[in-house]
Amino acid sequence: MSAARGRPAVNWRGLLVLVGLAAAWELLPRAGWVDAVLLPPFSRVASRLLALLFAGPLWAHIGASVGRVLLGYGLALAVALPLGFYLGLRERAEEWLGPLTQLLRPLAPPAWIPLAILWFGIGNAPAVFIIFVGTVLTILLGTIAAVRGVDRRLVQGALTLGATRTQAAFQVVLPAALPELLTMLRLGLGLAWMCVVAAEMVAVSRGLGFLILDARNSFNTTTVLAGMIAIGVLGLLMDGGLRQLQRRLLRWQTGSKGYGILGDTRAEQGLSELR
Amino acid sequence: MAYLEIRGLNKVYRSSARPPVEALHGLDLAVHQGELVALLGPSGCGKTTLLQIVAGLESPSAGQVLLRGRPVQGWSRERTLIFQEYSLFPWLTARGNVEFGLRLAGMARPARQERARQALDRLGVGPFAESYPHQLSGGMQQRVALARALVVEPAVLLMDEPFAAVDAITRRRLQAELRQLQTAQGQTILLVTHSVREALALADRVVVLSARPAAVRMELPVPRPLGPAEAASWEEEIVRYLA
Repeated sequence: MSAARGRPAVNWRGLLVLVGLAAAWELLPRAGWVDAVLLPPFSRVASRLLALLFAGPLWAHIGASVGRVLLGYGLALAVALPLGFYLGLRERAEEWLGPLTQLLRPLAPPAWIPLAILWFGIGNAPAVFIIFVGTVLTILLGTIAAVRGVDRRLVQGALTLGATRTQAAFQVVLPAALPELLTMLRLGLGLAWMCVVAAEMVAVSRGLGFLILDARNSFNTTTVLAGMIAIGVLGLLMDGGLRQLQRRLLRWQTGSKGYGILGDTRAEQGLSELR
Repeated sequence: MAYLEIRGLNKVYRSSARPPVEALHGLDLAVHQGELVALLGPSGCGKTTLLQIVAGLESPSAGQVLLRGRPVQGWSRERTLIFQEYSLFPWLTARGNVEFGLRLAGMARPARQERARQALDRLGVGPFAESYPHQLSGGMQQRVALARALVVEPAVLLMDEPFAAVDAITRRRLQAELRQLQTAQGQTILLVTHSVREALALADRVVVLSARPAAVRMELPVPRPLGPAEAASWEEEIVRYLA
């Protein structure tokens, strides 16, 4: 309990890996082992990133991408969380949804681009749609599995203590499924960011995906890499936010003591202990 | 008329893949008010199925369960169920767990806090009121589960091998506490166990079930007090019977 409140420990091992990679990335083109046009050294990319940040244009791209991610992901949550919760409580959700999901699974987000354009034209709507279709199924299935994973003894205990079905659903199944739901929310947010580049292939004029594709067209590898780093960092920050939420909501768990900004083995352990 | 009456209970599980499985066959049993009846039987004989049906969580294929002469329909807090483990809500403190049933019943916060405190004290877990289940030992968790069940004042308490998951010493102690509590409060209890010794230590009456499909084979009123020599010979007899 009290440990959850303290500052999370820094994951030095994870940081070390990043620093090591950055060093290798710096050295390889400088030593001439790889072409600096194809892989500009890390410092050049970093300073490009900072330049874009301070000169301004990056903020508009970040704003556009974050907005699309939040909207597309938010819509997916709004559809999939309630539906998944409801289906999870039903007996035969897998039978209803199994074939459909198997059919849709191989269709990666870029496969939806043509339809997205035909249906929604150009601009924000098709991009949001692609993020939506890229995440909705995972959240739906994850929610069903989380609800399904709740120990039936907890539910039976509640019923024989006087709970109605509805009370058992919201006061027992929901909190009992919460650890898995939150893990899945983080997974889904990661997926949403993975979709953003594909989504922004669709004739938009702002966004980190657009920035990357635009820079590629002018063979500007430095900006391509800067954009990629920006996406990674944004994903990391948003995941950090969700992890804070997770830590706060799951104080009652053994595993929610919390680990640093890059590592999270404890929470997963807690999950498996709960089962 | 008996307080809790089980009449001609049949339960057949049907599935398309396998031949139907008969779990219970014409099971009759009567439990009197304030009585603690222990159900003994070979494992997999359908004891748990019987408890589930009495709790109203499963419906019988035939027969009925009557409480105070009225057939039971579905679950209710009149028939509260306790499992051997993992029955506490891990996101609630011990007190939160005990208050759960009272809150559902619409009791105001000060009243239910007071009742929960009393219930926890009675079971000797008062000092752990603000602890979460994962911070408690298995024995402590079962005490809290018992407090949570008793606080809603069920007509019948149904216990499914409640002490099977705790160590031998704790188990002894819990049995003694349950016995004491039951005598003091006159709580009607139907308890499933696979330990002959536990049945003899706790029950007013031991009911021995046959292998699947379960039916009542033997009913033994346990005399109190039961001396160790007597207990040993009873145990011998039941074990021989089960084997």
